Amino acid sequence: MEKSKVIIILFLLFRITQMYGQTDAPERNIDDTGFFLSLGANYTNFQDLKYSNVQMQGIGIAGGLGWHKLTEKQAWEASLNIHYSNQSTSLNSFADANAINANLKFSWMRNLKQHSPLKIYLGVALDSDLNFRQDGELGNNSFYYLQGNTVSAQGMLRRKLNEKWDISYGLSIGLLSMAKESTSFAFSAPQEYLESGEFDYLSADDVIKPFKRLQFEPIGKYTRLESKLAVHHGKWGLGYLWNFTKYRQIKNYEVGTAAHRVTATFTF
Amino acid sequence: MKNISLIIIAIILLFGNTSCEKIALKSNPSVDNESIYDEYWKIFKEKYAMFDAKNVNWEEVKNVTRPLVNNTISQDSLFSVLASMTITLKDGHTVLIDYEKSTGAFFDLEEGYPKNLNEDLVKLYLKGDVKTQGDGLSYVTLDENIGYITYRDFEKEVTNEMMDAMLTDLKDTKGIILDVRGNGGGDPSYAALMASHFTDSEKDTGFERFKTGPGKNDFTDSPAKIRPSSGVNYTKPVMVLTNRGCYSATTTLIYSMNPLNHVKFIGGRTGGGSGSVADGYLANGWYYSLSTSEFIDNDGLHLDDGFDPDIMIDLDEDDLTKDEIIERAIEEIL
Repeated sequence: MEKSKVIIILFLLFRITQMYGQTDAPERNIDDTGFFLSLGANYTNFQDLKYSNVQMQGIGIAGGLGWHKLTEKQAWEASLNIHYSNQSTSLNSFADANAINANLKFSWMRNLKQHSPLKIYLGVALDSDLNFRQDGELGNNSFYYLQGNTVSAQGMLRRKLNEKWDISYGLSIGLLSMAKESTSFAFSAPQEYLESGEFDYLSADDVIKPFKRLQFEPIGKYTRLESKLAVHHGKWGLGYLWNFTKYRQIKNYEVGTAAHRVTATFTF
Repeated sequence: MKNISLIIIAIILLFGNTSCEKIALKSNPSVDNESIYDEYWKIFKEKYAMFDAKNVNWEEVKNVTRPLVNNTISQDSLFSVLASMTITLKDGHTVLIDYEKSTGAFFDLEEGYPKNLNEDLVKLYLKGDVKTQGDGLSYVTLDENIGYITYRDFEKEVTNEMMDAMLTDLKDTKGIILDVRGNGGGDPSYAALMASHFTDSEKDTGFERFKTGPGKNDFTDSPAKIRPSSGVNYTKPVMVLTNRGCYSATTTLIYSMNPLNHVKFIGGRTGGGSGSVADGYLANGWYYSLSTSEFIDNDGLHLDDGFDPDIMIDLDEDDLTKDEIIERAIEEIL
């Protein structure tokens, strides 16, 4: 990211703590627990340099359900989110793919600044993420997935704006992952199977199954970032989430996928 | 004031995220003629697995064809140049298609070869109590107590259950004729599964050499074996009928069954197509496919250009009373 933009963002985050450090709004301890549903829209971006430099983008729907527990001391969350988009490119009218992402996530964070107007939570998250794409007009390359299971460092700033509204900003950075991609450099079978000389057509269906023969991948090889800005009003919330995954299984031939998601959430 | 700051922060974050994406992802390629040529040539340079086997020097091809391309020639002319490069490889799996203009470039591997398949003649044998399994397998027991199976398309599903049921029906026959003439391929895993029902022991069949990186010598080999199924396995004489139309996954069947002593191949030279295929779109939307692996059998034979059966025999196109290839297979079993 350009240095100037990084500096601006860090400055603004610092200003949040300054501006909201002194406030007339009365303190309120947080105690928010319940199941939630979310629904919204998303915009996705995908590029697989093993296949093409062409970026594919699409708009679609996003939904999720989960459970969270937010107190002065801790924040817990378990969620399942699924989003779908139809991706195409502005360069031609033929490349067209349906993309589905399913993400199962568990997180725990501890509040480092209890009884303070600005709460700073820090903890860990564990998520299992499956990106699946299908371009029905292709043959062997019509089907693709990228599956990753990641341990991330996660943080959240949460601040009460007034009696009724809260605002939060969260950031998650993947540290270590176990990942698998359905395609290799030039074929629709995982690279690891080909490099180990284990591929054969009798076991081909087994070879491509997700969750099988995952590879340990550190940050840098499997990069996973997520940021979320949300406002909360009682049982309702409105959030903007961005997540980005990049997998460098083969040097200089990375696959990158990103999603921008706006969702409304209801806790019940 | 705070709300305005909030909006500004949200906008900064949005653009910040988007900027991160733009930096992390490569920018879209160009779609001018020269870029499309370079893209196509590079795809093959990095991914095509059989330049040596096909005796094609891809750098030389570039030396000859690249000067023909500039950004002023028409799309049709550009397509013609890329088409000539495609056909140079003489590979039935290597194809270039412009769907917008409904035009394509591919190597006609059947040109100059006898067809050796007449479905009207096949009907003289596949009659009476004909059974089927799924959409692709049809079979009957001939008067000579020989099983006759036709299977023309490896896109049609084959399962262990289907093979078990069919071979149970044919278990008392003296032998089986497996007619895969005209089978242009489909799913190689179906071929491997089918072959596994014709052996009772594991055997090496050769290896598949995959292109696993962009460098000229970035290959890895995966040894191939035929392993017996856990169900019904038929090990009495099997005659596999072939012609030039046998291609791709049918070659997988052939190389899987070739090491088996009770199996013979009868008919015409096959089309080959031993490699696995990758496909995609160029940046301008033209569809391409290419071979990204090659199969080499235990005798060191490169099977992409075809396989010669044990007994070469052609149909007499003037004789519409019998299928000479089926008749020879019956003779071999009896």
